[in-house]
Amino acid sequence: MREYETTFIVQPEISDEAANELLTRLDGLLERSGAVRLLHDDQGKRRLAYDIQKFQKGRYVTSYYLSDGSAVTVVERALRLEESVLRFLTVMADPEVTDIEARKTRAAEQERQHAERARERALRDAEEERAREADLRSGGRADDDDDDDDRGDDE
Amino acid sequence: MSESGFGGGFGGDREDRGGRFGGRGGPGGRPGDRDRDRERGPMSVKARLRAKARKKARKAQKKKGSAFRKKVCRFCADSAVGIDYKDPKGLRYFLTETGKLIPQRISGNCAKHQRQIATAIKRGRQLALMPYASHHGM
Repeated sequence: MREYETTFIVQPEISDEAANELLTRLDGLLERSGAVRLLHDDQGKRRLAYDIQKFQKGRYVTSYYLSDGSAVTVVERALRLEESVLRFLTVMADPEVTDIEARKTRAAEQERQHAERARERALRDAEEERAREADLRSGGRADDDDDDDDRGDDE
Repeated sequence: MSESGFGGGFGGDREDRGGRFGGRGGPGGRPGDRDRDRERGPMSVKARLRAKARKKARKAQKKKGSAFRKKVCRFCADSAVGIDYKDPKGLRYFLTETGKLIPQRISGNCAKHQRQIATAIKRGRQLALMPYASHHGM
């Protein structure tokens, strides 16, 4: 069995439920094509280095799975047809995985870590959002003061 | 009169060179380079330039001491550092501000790791993690 990793970018405006639905659909596809699903790593929203379909942000998800290679076409076809997926890239991560069970347990561990990281990230994002909003409110007022000063100098 | 004198001067020069070094090698080459040419067969212009640059660097190194330190591949030095196309922060170091790959001559990577870096950056570009070109700075 080979290990593949497929990274894809989901539209940022897609809701969490819809994204999760996509992941469960991928799980089903993997199972049907005889692949071993290892984990999905949701890396959250990231800024794109360049715009794709006018989107500046994207939600990055990496799926890891073991397969003889037949699952790759199935997964890629599904992603190509899915309009909320902006881009995908499949890379062979390991040409030969012999101990499948060991890899599976390691994947479970990784998934737990990723979930933890995602939780932390969500918390941090929420905090940043709050801070930005607070900043905007106080900053907006400070700016107004500056403007008034400028105008005073001019007159 | 003056013309013939000129020509004679050139001729004499050429003969002189031919006698000393066996008459091969391009203009501007040093005597030492030409001796090596004869042993290994003809050197391309690029190879000769590279050899010259190496020699110059060696000379400068002698003069300045540590100013021209030998670069060590950072991935060979520390095997814990991996190369991952999903890690734009780590790869950005190997791009110029305009988004071009930095040659190994400057980054100091060994051939193996430079190759891995190049592939990783190209993969990252497809996934919009790395820029193809930077229009407004990075």
